Amino acid sequence: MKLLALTTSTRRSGAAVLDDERLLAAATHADETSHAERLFAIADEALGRAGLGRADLEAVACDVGPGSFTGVRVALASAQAVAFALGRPLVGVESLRAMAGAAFGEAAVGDATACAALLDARRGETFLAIYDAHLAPLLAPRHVRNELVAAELGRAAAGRALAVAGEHARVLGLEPVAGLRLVTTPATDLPDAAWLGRLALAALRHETRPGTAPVEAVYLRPPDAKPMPP
Amino acid sequence: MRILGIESSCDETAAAVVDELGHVYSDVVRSQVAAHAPYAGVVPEIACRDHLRAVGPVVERALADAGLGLADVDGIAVTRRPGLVGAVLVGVQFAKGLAWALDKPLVGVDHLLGHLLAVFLRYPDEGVPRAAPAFPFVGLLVSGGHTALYRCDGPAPPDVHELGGTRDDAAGEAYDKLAKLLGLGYPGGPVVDRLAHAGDAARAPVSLPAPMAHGLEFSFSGLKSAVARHVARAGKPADEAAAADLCAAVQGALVATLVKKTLAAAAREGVPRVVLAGGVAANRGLRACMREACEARGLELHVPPVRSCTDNAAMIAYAGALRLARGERDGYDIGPERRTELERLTKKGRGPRAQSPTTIIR
Ligand SMILES: Nc1ncnc2c1ncn2[C@@H]1O[C@H](COP(=O)(O)OP(=O)(O)OP(=O)(O)O)[C@@H](O)[C@H]1O
Ligand SMILES: [Mg+2]
Repeated sequence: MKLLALTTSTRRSGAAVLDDERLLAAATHADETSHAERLFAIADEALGRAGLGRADLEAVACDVGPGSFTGVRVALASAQAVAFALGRPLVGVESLRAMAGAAFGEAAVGDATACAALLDARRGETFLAIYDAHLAPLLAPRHVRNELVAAELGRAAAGRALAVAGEHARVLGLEPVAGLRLVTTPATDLPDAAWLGRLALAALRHETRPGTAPVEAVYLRPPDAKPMPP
Repeated sequence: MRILGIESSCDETAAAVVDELGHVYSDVVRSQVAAHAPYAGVVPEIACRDHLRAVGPVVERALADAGLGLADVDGIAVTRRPGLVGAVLVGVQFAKGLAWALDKPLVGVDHLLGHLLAVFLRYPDEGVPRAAPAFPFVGLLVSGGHTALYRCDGPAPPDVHELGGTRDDAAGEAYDKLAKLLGLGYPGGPVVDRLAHAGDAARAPVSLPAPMAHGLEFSFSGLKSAVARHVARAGKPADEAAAADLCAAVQGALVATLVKKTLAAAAREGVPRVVLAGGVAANRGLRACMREACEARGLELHVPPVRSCTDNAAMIAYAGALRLARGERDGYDIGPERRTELERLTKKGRGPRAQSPTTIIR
């Protein structure tokens, strides 16, 4: 099954084209201020290198967050439209899950049986989730104050080795925390379109009516809005 | 040529199918008013989230109502500016996704130009056919975010020249703020309009002069402070009848200004045609007074149906259809922009008066 995967939830956007498990081509764009303008160019770049046309696509996968609110909407609005126009299923994959999937899939976790994924949530906070080797969530995605992340991860590790994906872990200086094994590959630093695509294809194999439920963005935080004083 | 239009610049998610003659095949508008009402104004992040959830179903509905599949449309038009950037973005990405997937022509449209061209839309259920205005015309654009007079020499952005705009609030914004002062809820325009209809300005406890500004410019802040002072002194209206009388006074003042400046613009430009546009053009008082004044001066008045005054995608599809008919087309690299591409003359706030860059030789 030929699938296009898109991510724009972080500073690095990406497009990947897969045929079942096989990655055919991928392209990225690293300027967060122009993801909307560049997304279809990198999609075309990936498709072109894969030797496929837009009409060959049989499914679309999209990073649904958490991440930058606007960033999440750039890819999700685009992916919704492409899936609708082509009459193909759309599969949403959480950014943090794609990162953990990459960590396990690239065998970067060593002997750890669980992997935490971290993204910068701005405002002094971190988006955080922990998954087991089957990518079932042990700790559902949430936002945590930066200074509480080490304690949260230490508690979750509970003595066992815990892999930690995400460049944000290095920003937080989590290196010396006992039991944590920092994973540092490009596909685990930030959500990676190829891994997003692989997880989406796995989900498609298990779904009975793929692409029928609406795909929702995962913001984790409510919108900033103060009610009018009475 | 049937064009799918998409609009998401503020608090309405809309999609429509229209042809280059303005025939409307479908027109779907999903309003977010209820989501923003508790905040007495549009909350950007709430708007963006809602657009993302709504845009797919709204587009699907517009195609279904027109009896078309996406493959049948000849192009995709989308509001690209001006508006809340994050809200515009959702419509733009969705439109680009549709166009990209099926390799359909894509055009971005200026929302204000859409408003000014709404008068050309033709709905199948309208009954009596309306004559379309010829160019040039003087357009009074009065919406929630913008208020200005334009000389329109044609339907493309370079044909549209601002003659004067607001120095502070837009007319719709003024309605909304006045309604808030009087405790009438949000959005204020329709409520004030309804109450004013039942009220009598002569019975209002305060007399409100028509707000004045230099030349063809507008300023509504004086009216707002006059009402604020009155409320501070005498309190909010005690009952519906008192509110109605005050609203009649407010509406009378606003409408008098809008009519007076529009007539002055038509006289100055020597243009015998006036077009109303934007959400406030739905106002019954404005429509009636403008009609009367134009008749008295022998000016043609063109007023769009109420549904095409407030935000809709039919006007966007039509403006886009004209762009496509001119052979124009945008790439997949277009993004949302905060400001209009139409020529702007009046700068907000105080400061020197603008000089028109436009010289018209007649
Ligand atoms: N009957 C009415 N009388 C007066 N004002 C009205 C009426 N109906 C709607 N409005 C006003 O129209 C405005 C909404 O118009 P519109 O949808 O054109 O604006 P917008 O799209 O929010 O702004 P813009 O087009 O400038 O971006 C609101 O301020 C509302 O109060
Ligand atoms: Mg509008």
